[in-house]
Amino acid sequence: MFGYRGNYILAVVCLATGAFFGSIGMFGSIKVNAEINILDALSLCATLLIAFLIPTTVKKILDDNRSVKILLVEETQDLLSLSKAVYAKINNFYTSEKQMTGADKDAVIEAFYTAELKMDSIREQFDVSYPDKTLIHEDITIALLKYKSFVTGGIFMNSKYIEIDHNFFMENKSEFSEFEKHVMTKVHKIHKF
Amino acid sequence: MKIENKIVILTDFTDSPGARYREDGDFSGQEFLEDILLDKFNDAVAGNYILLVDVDSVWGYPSSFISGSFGKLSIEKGAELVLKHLEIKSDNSKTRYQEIISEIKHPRSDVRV
Repeated sequence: MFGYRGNYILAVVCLATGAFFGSIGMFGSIKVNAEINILDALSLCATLLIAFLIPTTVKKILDDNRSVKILLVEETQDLLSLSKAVYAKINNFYTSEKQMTGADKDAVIEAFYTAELKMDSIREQFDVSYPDKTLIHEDITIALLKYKSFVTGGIFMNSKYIEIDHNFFMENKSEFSEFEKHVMTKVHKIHKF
Repeated sequence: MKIENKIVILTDFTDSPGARYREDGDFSGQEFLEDILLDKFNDAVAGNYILLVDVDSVWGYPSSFISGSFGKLSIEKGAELVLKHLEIKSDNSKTRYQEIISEIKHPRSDVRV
């Protein structure tokens, strides 16, 4: 609220408070008992230790949790990138009016296989860190297989289908967009764990 | 029930499975079903044993292949019987395993594309 001025004000207030209590001690208003009770000393040590340990432990738990979440989010976004490569490939065939070869289709199938392996990895990481959140990765798996089914489950796999037509191009956009939305929703859910 | 026979897709069929129907191209799901899977599956049912299908080490399975083979088998024989006598070995990918099992449990209708 006060910006840098606030720091100066705080410093002056601290100084004034210190000087005030210091002056009280100096003029003998407060008597300090120099005898130390061992139980009081231990109690003070325990209090200081707890005061140090609790915030440190809580901070570590929060940091660890955040790191795991960031890792899972990155992995999920990698899955999206892998699938986006298929989407872009199909777009490219349509816009460039290029004919597809068998090797081009094999590359699409292989890309999906890589995405499936990524999905396996995400599932295993969930099992380790969030075993009670199976619905999240199950939903992502279903969404991935739905997009895969759209691309490789129909006309695209026919060896006589060598040019992406307008319908397939448009449907691919819509199917990928659905998949992307689904995955990004899950990414938000992971952040909210 | 014990496993008494097996099909390894990589060595018994191809490393690059194709589309749904024979007329769609080589190594289709229909070709796999009719030339390899169906007879061995029928033998497994008759002999009351399990047929293991090893789907590992293949580039990838188009959904149309899975639908044209495992899905079609499920439509013809019933999901319960297929799951009783067929075991899928997919050590490479659990997602692949899930896709095949899901297709057997909920086979898509036999729509020609």
